[in-house]
Amino acid sequence: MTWQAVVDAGGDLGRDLDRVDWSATPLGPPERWPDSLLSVLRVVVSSRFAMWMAWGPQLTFFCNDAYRRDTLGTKYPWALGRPASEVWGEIWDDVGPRIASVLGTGVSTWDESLRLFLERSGYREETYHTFSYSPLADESGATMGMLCVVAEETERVIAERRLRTLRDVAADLAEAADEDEVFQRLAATLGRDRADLPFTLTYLFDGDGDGDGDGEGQGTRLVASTGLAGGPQQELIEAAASGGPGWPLPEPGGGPLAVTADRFPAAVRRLLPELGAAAPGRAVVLPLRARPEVQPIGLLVAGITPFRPLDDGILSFVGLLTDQVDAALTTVRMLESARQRVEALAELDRVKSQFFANVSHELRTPLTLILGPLERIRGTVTTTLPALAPEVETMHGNALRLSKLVTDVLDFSRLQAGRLMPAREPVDLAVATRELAEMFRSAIEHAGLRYVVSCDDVGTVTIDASMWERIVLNLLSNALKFTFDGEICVRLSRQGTSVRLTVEDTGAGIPDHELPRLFERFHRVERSRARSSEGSGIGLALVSELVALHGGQVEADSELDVGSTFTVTLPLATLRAGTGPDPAADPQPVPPSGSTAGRSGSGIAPAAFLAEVARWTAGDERGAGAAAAAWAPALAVVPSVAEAESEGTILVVDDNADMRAYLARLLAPRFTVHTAVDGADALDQIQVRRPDLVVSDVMMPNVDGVELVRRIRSEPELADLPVILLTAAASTAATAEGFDVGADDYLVKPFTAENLLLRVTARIAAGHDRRRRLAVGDLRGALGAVATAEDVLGVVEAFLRGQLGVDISGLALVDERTGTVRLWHQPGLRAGLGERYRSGTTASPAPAFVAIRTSEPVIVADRSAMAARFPEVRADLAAAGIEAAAVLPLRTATGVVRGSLAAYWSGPRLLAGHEVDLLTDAAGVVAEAVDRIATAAQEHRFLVEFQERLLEIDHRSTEAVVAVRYQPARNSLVGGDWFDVITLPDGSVGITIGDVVGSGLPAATSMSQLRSAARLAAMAHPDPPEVLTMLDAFAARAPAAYCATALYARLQTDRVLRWSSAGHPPPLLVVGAEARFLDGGLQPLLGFGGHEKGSSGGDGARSAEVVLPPASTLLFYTDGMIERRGELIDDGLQRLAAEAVAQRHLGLSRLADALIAAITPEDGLRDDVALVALRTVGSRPELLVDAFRSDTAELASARSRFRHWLEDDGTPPGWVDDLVLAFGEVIANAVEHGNANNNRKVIGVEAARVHNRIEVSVTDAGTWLADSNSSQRRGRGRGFSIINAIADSVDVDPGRTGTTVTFTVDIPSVEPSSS
Amino acid sequence: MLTALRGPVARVGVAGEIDDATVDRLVDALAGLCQPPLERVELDLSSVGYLGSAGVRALAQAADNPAGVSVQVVGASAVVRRVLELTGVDRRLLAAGPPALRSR
Repeated sequence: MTWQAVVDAGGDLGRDLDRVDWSATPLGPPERWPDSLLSVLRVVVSSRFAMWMAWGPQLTFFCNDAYRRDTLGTKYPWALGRPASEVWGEIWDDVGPRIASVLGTGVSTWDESLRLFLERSGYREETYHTFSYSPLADESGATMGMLCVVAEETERVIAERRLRTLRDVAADLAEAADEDEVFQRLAATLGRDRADLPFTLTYLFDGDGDGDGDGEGQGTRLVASTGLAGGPQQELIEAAASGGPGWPLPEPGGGPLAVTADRFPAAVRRLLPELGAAAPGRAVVLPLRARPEVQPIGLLVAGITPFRPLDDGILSFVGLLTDQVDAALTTVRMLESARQRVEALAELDRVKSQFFANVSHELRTPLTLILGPLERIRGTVTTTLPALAPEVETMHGNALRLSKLVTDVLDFSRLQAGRLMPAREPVDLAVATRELAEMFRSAIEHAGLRYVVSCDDVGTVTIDASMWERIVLNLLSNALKFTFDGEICVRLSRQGTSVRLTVEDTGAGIPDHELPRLFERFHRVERSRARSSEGSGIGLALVSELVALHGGQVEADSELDVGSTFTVTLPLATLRAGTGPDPAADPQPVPPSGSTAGRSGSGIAPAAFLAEVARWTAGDERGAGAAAAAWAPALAVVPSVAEAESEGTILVVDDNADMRAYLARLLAPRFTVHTAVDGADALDQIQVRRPDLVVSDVMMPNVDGVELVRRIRSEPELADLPVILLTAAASTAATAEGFDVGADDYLVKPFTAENLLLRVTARIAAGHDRRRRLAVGDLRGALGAVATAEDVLGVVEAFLRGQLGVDISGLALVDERTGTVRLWHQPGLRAGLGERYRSGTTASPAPAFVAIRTSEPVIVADRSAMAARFPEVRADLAAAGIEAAAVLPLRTATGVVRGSLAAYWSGPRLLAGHEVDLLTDAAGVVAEAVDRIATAAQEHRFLVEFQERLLEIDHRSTEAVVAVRYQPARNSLVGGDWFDVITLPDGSVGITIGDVVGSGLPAATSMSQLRSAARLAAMAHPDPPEVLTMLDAFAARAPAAYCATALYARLQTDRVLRWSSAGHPPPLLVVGAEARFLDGGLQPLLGFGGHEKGSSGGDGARSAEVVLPPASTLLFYTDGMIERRGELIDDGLQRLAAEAVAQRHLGLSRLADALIAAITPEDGLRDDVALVALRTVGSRPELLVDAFRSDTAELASARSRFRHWLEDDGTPPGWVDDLVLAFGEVIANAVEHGNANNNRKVIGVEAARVHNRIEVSVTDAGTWLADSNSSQRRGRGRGFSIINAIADSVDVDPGRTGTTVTFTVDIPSVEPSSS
Repeated sequence: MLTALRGPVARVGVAGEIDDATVDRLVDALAGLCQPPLERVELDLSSVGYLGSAGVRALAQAADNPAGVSVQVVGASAVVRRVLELTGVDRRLLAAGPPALRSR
């Protein structure tokens, strides 16, 4: 063994070894070195595994080429021949003791992924190494040195650490309930692992004042920070609050911005020394976005560790970190708006109850003051003024009824607030119940019904007597209200450990679908027949609540037209539990209102119930005399109300002139009244002028009332005209006939004036309501299809003109991002005002802005009122010809005012109540439409942005040409398919493709996360199964990614393709005219686990590999490419393979388009489709695939490869020159214009020979449309005269990921290709 | 690049491939040459194996030099001739007849 042999084995390194002046070292000149040293040296220098060794008293340092490349950095060649303690001085504390141990004991050491800070790149660098030290002996067997075999694992360890951090952040943030928690969790998670990011600062902008998203004109809050918390953080917070974040801001829409320490804010610079050696010299600033908002809402600033280079790896780590924060913010903001909606509804409900309670309470005092004196008058009126007795009775009865309603509402709201507690006392329930039931006997029997009361002795129980009274009376009055013949039966009995009260009737019954809501507050069952249409909808709900207060329950059982049974069950245990309310439950129990008037059953409650039912049955007892008394007082003739103030038009039909006059007088103050003498006359008049209501007598000559109703109902356009019949017939059978033919209501003569007015008003209002509902329903339908504010106004204008005679309609919308208000008018404003009133701010004085600012309707009836209310713009309003206005705020369901809806008239206009209601409802519908349009626009923006991100691949390898396509399903921008292509540090290409369940926003979010995770996993692991294992672990923690399929493949520079598939369809390989699917490497779907090492039985089938021939085509795709309804998957696979072979001569970009076109039905795709197509570089006679860095220095060799390919297959020389000429121009353009001379990008070339035609495609990474201006200025397209002159066809396809130029040349003399 | 001077006429021989990567050198050389007292520059491109449009533009620009020095292509390979024809500058740049030095 000679020194020369060592030098020769070492190549370049050997020559460097030879240059060392060995005689100056303790080892002396190499000629004198022992054979043992030379032998081991030769092994070391010729090994391709990284090694270093040390020999002799000073442990003189040697190493091989692999060690020099991986680890030594700038220390080479200085280190050769130096003492090892000098070479590795900075880590001698770590490695020195290990070496000493090896030399002393002769036993090898082993360290796995040991962290060492090396000074080999001009700074202290964090590195990781797995290594073993073993002893080296000389011929005598004495240990003379040591050998280190080492694998540097810095990239792997650091990539794994970053992925772990990202996964923790994703998982922790996913559990955050609100924005504050997002930032708390972010700070906690990033605070735990500060190796990469020694400090982070997260800022939020509190609303962007000037709307340009740059963070100016607004407050800035520091919401999370790590690393710098030890210092006076208050200073940071205050600095942010007063002067903004103080960091340079990234370009809008741009990527991360790197900032050096001299540009850090002063407050941050002051804190940096606390971090000691780890204090970053650089930070990266990234915008935070809560999608779908486009503008940044904050900043994430990450201080970058000084121990690592600021490279792509750490930039993409910080970028992905920001993505996670963005996703979490999007989620919590969505949750927050959902929560606010729910809270707003609950608040509305609470406010409503409170309002009823307040109003009811206020009503009690005046009611008491009415009832008291009335009782006294009632006692004397029959003797003093007998003629007025019926009126007094009416007053009394109605006052009692009102009192009962007020009490019900008040109690109910107290119940809801939990403030009503039973005041229990011992009661003999059978006696009490019987007394209550007997009070109803006369009323029930008077109505012609049988009445059965059966109360078993159930003993004395402790119960709130007044509540029980309310329960029984409510059930009884309910029974009487809906029962017209048959019987009502009350039973009290003991059933085991309970007391049961049943109230059974043979009445109208309750439809099945109404039963579940029967005990709901304010719910009124719609029934065909009732003694009264009065009712608050509270009675049964109150019963249910009162029973529940006693621990019992109430149930209803009913059959339509047969009868109903209400059953109250009270458990005896609770009835005997105590004699008073639980003092702990409420310190100040409030007794029910009804009981304040007394407990004995003679209070207001029973009296009110009885008065009410007496009125229902009143028609039965009053004779004609009483009827005469009801309208005897002659009313003064009142002129009909002015048209504008009329609540509606009524046609009164009666053959009796006195009766007609009486009714007309009665109704004239509020309505426009016309009269007809009989049914025939009425029908004639209705044909001419349709009234809002018909009030008709029944008994008339010619056409009587019943016939009139029948004829009205038979006319389709009159079918909804309401009719009230007046009848003297007292029997229920007579009125039944009226209902049967379709009358809406009937009044039994004699009726009181109030009752008539009440019914008429209700009918007119119901008519207005119905017409309003229909009109607003139509409006909602018409607005359902519109997509722009202009179209909304178009629809609304037609509506307002038709319904209210509006002259000009206006729509104003607040731009959420800028806070400005945009206005539209239709027809346009006169006198150039349209220009001036096109936009403004909510501070503007015109009515459209005032309605938005105050969130209140602005209603002005005439010119003088207008001038008084809007003095600043009175001249403009006059110039626009506007005298009256009604402007309503457009408020969304969540209470946000999005704008205003304006109706303007050119003359005075007084709006009736129902017209205001119509406008209000219309504004609600318009607000819905506007809200929907705004939301859809936001979602659209986000989804488009997402799609663009999906297409942003990182393809920089010159090993392959790549084309990607994403085609959403019809009616959707994004489905669940995703893909990615990345360039790995060693030049390999990583391809990921996958499919998650779902579509739209949720799918886009989970895809985005999964794609980020896949990118990082691919960086961390060279091994495809490991990448899927990491992805699986990620999916298991992200619910939306559960059950997703994915495939990861890695194309190495030696053309070996290794892949692993989690249930994803197999890639298709096309070589020449041969196609085959790459099965194998299959693993379970993501999120199921089982991706760990050895879990598939250790048979090595976790991945598969194949060597790709030159110029072969590989297709990765999602199931949309192969699935067709009603077809086997195999058929789809075969179809894809056949199509790919048939179109193989196309350039990759055209091939991708052709394959997608082939599977797309005319009406669009049912499922979305993703396609990644790849061609390996190399040449075959029929196909050349080439890729080169985008650099003018590469042009000559690219032309040369193209020339050789042409010549090898015998293309005639003249044609070769021309083709090279055209090709040279196309690739020169691609470098200069497509990729803007960016040599990190790659140009792809494909040339195919099909029969006599050469087809050449060149793809760059630019878009010609996007840079059309500068291109034209700088003469892009230069050389196109040459290309056009040579080529038979030229096509420029500006795709979204790059531009492809394709040209063809037909060469008659070329032999047809054999393939 | 070989240059021969004869009185006010310079003859320049160019060899190799002229594309975006190499054109700057041609531009610089021609700009340096097209100065008084030279009156004409004759370019012999018979050893040029590739001439892209970048090169054609360089020639056209040189012919438009502010000093009014005349620029003529006196020798052209088939490839060069083809490009000059295709771009329509042949009549302006290509000297008629065989490459020959003409003195005034």
